[in-house]
Amino acid sequence: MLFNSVDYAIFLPIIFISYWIIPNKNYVFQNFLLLIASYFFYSFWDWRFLSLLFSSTVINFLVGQKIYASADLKNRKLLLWLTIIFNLSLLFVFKYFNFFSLSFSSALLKIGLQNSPLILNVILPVGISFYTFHSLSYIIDIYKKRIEVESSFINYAVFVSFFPLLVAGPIERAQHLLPQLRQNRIFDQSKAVDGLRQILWGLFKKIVIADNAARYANEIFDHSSIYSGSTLILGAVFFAFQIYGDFSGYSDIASGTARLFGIELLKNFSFPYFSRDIAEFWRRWHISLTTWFRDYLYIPLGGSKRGIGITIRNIIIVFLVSGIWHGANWTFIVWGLINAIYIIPLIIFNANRHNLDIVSKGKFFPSFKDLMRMGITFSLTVFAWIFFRSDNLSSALNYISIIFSDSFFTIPTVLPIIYFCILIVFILIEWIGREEGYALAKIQYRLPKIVRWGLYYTLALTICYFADSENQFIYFQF
Amino acid sequence: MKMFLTKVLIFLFLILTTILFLSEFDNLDKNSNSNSNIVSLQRKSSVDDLDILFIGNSYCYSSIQPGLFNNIGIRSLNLGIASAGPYFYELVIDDYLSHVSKPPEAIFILVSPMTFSSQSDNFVEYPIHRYLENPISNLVISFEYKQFSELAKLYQKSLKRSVINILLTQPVVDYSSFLINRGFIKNDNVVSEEIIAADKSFYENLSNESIDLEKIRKLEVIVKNLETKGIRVILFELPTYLLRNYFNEEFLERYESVLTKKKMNNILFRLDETEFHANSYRNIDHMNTTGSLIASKLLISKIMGNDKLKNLFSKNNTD
Repeated sequence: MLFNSVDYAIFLPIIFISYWIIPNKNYVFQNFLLLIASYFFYSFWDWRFLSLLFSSTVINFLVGQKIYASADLKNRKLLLWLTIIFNLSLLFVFKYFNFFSLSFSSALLKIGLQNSPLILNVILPVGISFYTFHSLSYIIDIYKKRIEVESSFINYAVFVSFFPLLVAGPIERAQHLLPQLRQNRIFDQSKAVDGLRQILWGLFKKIVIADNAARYANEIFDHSSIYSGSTLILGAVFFAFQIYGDFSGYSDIASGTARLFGIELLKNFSFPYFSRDIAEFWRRWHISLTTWFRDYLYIPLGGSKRGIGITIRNIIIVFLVSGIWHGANWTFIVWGLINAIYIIPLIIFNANRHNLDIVSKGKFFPSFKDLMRMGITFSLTVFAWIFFRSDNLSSALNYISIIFSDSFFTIPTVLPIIYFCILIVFILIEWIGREEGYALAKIQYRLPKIVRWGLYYTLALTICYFADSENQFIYFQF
Repeated sequence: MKMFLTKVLIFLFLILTTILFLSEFDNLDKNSNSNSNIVSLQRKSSVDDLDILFIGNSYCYSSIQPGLFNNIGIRSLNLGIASAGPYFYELVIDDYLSHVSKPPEAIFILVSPMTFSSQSDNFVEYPIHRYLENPISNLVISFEYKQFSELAKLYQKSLKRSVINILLTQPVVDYSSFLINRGFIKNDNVVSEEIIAADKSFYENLSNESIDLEKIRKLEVIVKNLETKGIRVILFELPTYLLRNYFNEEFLERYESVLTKKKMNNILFRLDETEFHANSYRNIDHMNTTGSLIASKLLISKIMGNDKLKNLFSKNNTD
């Protein structure tokens, strides 16, 4: 069930009303309803994978209890590693096995050893990368004694499978979500209105910004050989807006939906294209994944405390793992590596934490310096997206070689004027609202009611106008 | 909570009302749209007093040349509409009959595996109900033809069309070619490996098709109603190049049994496939102009070989 589908438009109000008419707002019943709803939601993709989700939940829940109860460090460590191996094995079998098998086979062929690669005929269960990471963080946090073990299976199962975040995050943390699930949620109208506003903005980003950008990006990337260098640059820019609108739109709908149920999710995006350097970009893009890698990979590897050499090694490892987390393809690995290369100079010159505040805070216009820095950061990001979007490395290199050919200075042949106008309005709204959790939140303080309703009305009609088809969210494939 | 739900409902009501209001303008372009379906629907009633009305999908308008029938004194019109199946047939026939002074002597209805598949009667892609002389609303269509799951898409499509119609004025279309060819659409392309490769992804889905019993029933109702009105109904099937290869065996077996049943009640003309070659087609399932010439001549000879029909049309011509 997609967030931008008619099915979801029917499902959500039914669950919302059922949830809030539960007597005494008892959290046990509320959580039970959320669990049923989440499993129903997930079964819309493929009910067979419910058993995988359920078994993963049961195993991690039980092992969590065992680790918590055990006083023996050796035993705890053994259980921790067994659980990590179990969770990563699930990911490996469903997501990476064929990639490694094919890569190994082609490496053997290169040294003259004939072989036929072993290929597993399995499809990737939706959301596996996300719920596996939920479970891993829970187990590691229990081992590290950062959290108390969850005694209720239902609470834990909702933590893993809460439907707004089940298929594409944000990747939640036990210490953030579980305490919310342990208390009765009382209906708060201002929160519910805010949730709906964020859903509206998320739908706008997905349907109007991302899906339209996708039309042009797909056309240009799929037929890159017939377009000029300047058009290919535009194609990469379209993809930058496609992936931002798509994923941050998804995250907005997820957060807005959770807020309708009185639950706050971790923030996943914070206006990343207004970043002044790559380090800032990574503090603002897919925040829940970046912080997950920081806490469970970068810091355990030694973080930045063991000298510049180890820090650089750790940065490279984190970005390579982040790349392959996105998909079993060399393009994602190179994308991760490029981002590591971008960030290493900032680490060496100790400049990675220069831009912690909001750009041009309290001002409408950015300074020329900030504008230039945002432009350079955006250009670097767009360049890296070429690898992310391409089907394989040779296509990406080919794409880049055409960009830097003689046709670089020609006028692009794909110039969708109406889309550019919409994009300018979108960037403007994002800029104005950049100090808030999401862009549209700003208007609740600034505009009179009638204007606010007018804006919601216009956004809703624009969404309906562009809602041609129910396009899948990009991050569902990860 | 009550206040919140009330506000949400008011907001949704405003949005829905606006969409319903705006989507009424989706057919403003009926006199300016050069889409062949719309042109056919707009001009159909100007061709009155017919011997034969041909009803079918795009195979029909690609294969039947009314001009050849007219040459031998059979006044005919090709009212083939893209994607048409029994639901479209009903709408188009009813609309035609309600706007002409005299009904045709016979209506030739095309049948093909596509007719009874889920691919036919695509109201979302081809919203012909909005371009009839008496347009029918999306809501009525969704109830009449059980298209509830498509209702949102139908209105979305209408909204989009309406906004374009309101904002942009398009030039009035030239109907002359329709009147000359009487609904037949010429196409001189010849099928090639490249064309098949480019198109086949659409046809590959057909392997999962199961025959739509609702559409079979609808066709039976159409035939019965026409015969009650004294109009003779003839079913006809046209050869297609590779279409049958894409359907599963069970579907084709059931399709054949449907045709056998129909043959017992009605005249069914099936054109001989061996008369056609690869150069008679423009793609996987449509004929080109060369193929249409053969198809039209074969159909004429079938009519002339049937005494009842021959007498019917010759009587009219003598009159």
